[in-house]
Amino acid sequence: MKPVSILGVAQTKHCARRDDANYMELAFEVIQDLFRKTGWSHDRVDTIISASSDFWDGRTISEIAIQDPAGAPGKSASKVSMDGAFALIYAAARIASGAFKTCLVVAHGKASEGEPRAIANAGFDPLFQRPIGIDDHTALGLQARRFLEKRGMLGSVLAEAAAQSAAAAAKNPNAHRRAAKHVLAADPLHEDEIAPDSDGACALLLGEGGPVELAGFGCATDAHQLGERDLGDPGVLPRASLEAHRMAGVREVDVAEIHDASSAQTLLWREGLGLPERVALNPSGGAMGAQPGFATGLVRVAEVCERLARGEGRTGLAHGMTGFVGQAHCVWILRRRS
Amino acid sequence: MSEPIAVRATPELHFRYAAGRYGSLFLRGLGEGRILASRCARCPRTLVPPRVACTHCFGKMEEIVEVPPRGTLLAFTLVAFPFLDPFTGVQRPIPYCYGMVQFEGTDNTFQYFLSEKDPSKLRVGQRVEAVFNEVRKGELGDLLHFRALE
Repeated sequence: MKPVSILGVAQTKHCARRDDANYMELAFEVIQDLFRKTGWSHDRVDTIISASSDFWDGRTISEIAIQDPAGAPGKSASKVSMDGAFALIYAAARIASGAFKTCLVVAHGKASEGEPRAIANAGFDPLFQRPIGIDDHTALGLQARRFLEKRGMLGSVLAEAAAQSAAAAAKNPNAHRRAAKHVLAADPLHEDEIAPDSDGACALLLGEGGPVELAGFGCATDAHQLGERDLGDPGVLPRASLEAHRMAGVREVDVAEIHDASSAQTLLWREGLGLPERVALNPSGGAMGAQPGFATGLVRVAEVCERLARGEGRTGLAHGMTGFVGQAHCVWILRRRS
Repeated sequence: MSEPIAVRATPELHFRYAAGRYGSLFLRGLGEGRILASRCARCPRTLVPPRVACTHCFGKMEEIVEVPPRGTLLAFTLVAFPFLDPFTGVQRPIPYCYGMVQFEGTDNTFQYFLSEKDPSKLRVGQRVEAVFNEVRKGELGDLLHFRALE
C-alpha cells in the first residue's frame, strides 16, 4: 500500500442558514478555498469522492449539486451516503492502491433546507418506531438517560460538558453555535446539550508527500435498532478505535476531535475511545459547536490535520459517525510527518 | 397462513431549497421577463440557468448576461404519466410536451414546457420563443412555456 497524506484542508464557516449559497455555491466556496491554500487546481485532481445525503438534500443523487465545482465531469467520481469520515476510507483506498495520485474529498450538509427532525424520524423503522415520534434528538435523550443511570451521574455533568464545548467553540471562528439556551429539549438533555443543525462544507486533498499522513483507521457498525444496544455504553466505538490505533502503530494521541451529537456523547465517546484526561478533546468545540450534516466527521479530520500541521502535537485522532446515537463509528489516526 | 399485512403510509417532508446567488438572479430575471445566463471567461461558454462554476472548465462564471428570449428546439418529448408538481402539490394536467431549447447566444439547452401538446406538430431545429406570464412573481412559473415562432 502507498502511504496517504493530506495535502490540504478547507472548511466553510458553519452557521444556521446559508440562503446566500445553494449547494453548488457552498461547494465552490470550500473547494476554491482549498485550491487557494494548496496552490492546486482541478486539472491536477485525479478523482473525486464526496459525502452527502439524498434525504437531507431533498434530492436523489445529491452529489450532482457539487459536481461542477468539484470538477467531476470527465473524471472518476463517487459518493458515500455516510459521514465524510467514512468517505475518507474510500478516498484513501484510491490513493493507497496506487490507482490515483490525488483525490479531492468533499462533504456538505445544509440542515436549513429540510426538516432535520422529520428526516431523522424517516430514518427509523416505518412499522414499529416512526409512529411513536422517535427522531435523532429524542434518541439522544434515551441515550443520555441510560448513560447517567449506568454511571450513577447527575444531569449536571451534561451541562458541564456542554459548557466546556461552548467555551472552546467561542474561540473557533468557524463554529456555528457558541452558546444556547438551557431549556429542556429531550429529557434529560437541554437545548445547549444537543449539537446544533448547521449549514456548511468541508474539503480535503489527498495525495503523496503532504505534511500530515493518514496513519490508520478503524470502523464498525452496530445494530440499527436502538433496542438491540445498550445506549449507555459506547457500543462498537472501542473496536473501531483499537483497529485504528493498531493500524497506525500509535498508543496514544496528542489531540482528538470527535463527533458528539450531545454532551452525553462528549463524555461517552471519550470513554469509548479510551482517551486519557491529558488529551485535548475537541479544541474546536467539536460537533457541539457546528454540525453540518455529513461534513461533520470530515471537519474533525480537517481540524486535527490543521493542528498537527501547525506543530500542536505529532499524532491526532478524528472521529465521525453515521446512523442514530452512534450506530456506526469511524476513527482516523493522523500523524505529522517529521 | 392468513394474509400478509402491508401498512400504507404517506409521509410528508418539506424542503426550502436555497436558490443561492446565481439562482436568485435568474428567478428575479424571470420576474422581469428576462432570461439571464452566466458567461465563463475561460472556455468561453454561456450557460442557462446561471451558475457559479462552469460545467465545462469548472472556473468561476463571473459575468451575468441577458440573452434573447428565443432559441432553437433541439429535442422534445411527451409527458403522459401523472405526477404531482413538487412546488404546488397539485397534479399537472397530462399529456403535454416539454423540450430542450438552446437560447440564442448560449452553449447549452434549457428544458421547459412547450405550448404544443401534439408531438407530431413539433420538429427538431424549430425556432421557439419564451412566453412569460403577465403577472410575475420572480419564480420559475413566471415562464409559461415556449411557443413556435414559425
